[in-house]
Amino acid sequence: MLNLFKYGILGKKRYYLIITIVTIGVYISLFIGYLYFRNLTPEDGFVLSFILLLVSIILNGIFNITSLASEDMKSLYYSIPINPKYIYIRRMLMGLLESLYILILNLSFMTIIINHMNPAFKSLIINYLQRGGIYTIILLIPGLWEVVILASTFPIANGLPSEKNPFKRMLYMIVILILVFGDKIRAIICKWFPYSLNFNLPQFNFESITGSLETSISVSGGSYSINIFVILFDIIVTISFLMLNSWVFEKKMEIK
Amino acid sequence: MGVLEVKGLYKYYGKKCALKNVNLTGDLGEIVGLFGPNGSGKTTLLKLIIGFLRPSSGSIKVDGKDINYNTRAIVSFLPDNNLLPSWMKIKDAFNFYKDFFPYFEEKKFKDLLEYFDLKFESKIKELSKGEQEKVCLSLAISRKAKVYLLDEPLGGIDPASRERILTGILKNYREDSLMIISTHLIDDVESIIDRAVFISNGEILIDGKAETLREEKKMSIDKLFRNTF
Repeated sequence: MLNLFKYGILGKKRYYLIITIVTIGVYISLFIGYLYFRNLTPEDGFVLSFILLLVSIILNGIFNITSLASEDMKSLYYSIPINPKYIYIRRMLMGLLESLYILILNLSFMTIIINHMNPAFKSLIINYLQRGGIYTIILLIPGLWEVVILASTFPIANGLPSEKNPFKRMLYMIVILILVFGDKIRAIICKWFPYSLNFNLPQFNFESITGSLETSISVSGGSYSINIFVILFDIIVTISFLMLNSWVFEKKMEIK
Repeated sequence: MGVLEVKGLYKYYGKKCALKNVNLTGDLGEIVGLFGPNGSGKTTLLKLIIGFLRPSSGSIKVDGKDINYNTRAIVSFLPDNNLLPSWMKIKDAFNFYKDFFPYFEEKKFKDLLEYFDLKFESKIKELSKGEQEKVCLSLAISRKAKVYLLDEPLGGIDPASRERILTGILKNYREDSLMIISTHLIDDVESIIDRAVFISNGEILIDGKAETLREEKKMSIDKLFRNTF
């Protein structure tokens, strides 16, 4: 498994370099824009940072799914005497760790640069994390990764032999249904099992006063409590598909 | 009991039957030529033996064991296309094989690189198709395996280099292993094979000792192939 990680990282050296340089480049451009043009407010900077973070994490998910199809499901990895399910699990774990790296990289630069624009930012973000915002961040990555694990079913199912076409279609159908109607399923679960945990996911309110004009901005879907059964549903879906895809990878898939 | 046993093997791609009731055995110390026109099922058969494809029915045993990921430790496969990712240097591919395959023979690989005039530090993507094939071949035959499956090892190689490659294969062939060479360039490999298997439309038409076939049919294997197809 360690060797799988080693060659996974070696194969993505350039990708990591590009992610790091692009992220740093965007933040430096943001800062230069603020220093020279002054028409960029800290709120704009915060929104841009948040968009950059989300776009980077989504792109990282897409790159990992394409790498799964273009590298892991090819002759080299499939000819090594290792249970193929570890090749899949390695890819999913690597993607998760890369997303965490992107999160830390963005949060660090976001804090450094926006704090320079508005010294209150640092204390605002610390206060936000202390109010329970840390859970939003902790849940953001696995939440997005649930979608990546579901989406990874598509290339894996595509590798099934023709005799398994009904199974392949069934997998496609289940994943599409969960992706499209996931929110409706969660709403039904909330209605049937109205048991929520006591802490709330706060929204991040970024307020600044410029003269007499007060502007505020909030990021997050709003303040809502966590339904324990919805969380259980998401955990079950993620683990089930991780296990199902691993099983298909090991027992059923073909390298054409 | 042979090191390779294929019994009643069928493989379907949708409605198309790629292999029909294939029965084949292979013993240690044999070099088998698997010959057939394009689309005859040669690559499908090799991919089934390595475990890349799953049989529709029938069984395949390598060294007495059913095919699974563990048997890949004793089966060395050279696909008909470059299997190495473009980010790799020859050095990385060497380290990859050393880390993942038991009993990878480092010296043999380095000797083969020298024999093929390839540099250890070269990037895979900067090599020509023929050079990439030479690297893949060197990696495949430097593994200490019981079964070697070489799919079109001369496919993208110019006629002048083919002999050099065949000499390389023969020089490094292990007597305690079975080697199956799939190709339609029969004339080139005829001199090194012990046994010839002709396959057409997924069915084995001829399976016999090369020497016996030449004597019985009073013609070379290449000529026999041309007459058969």
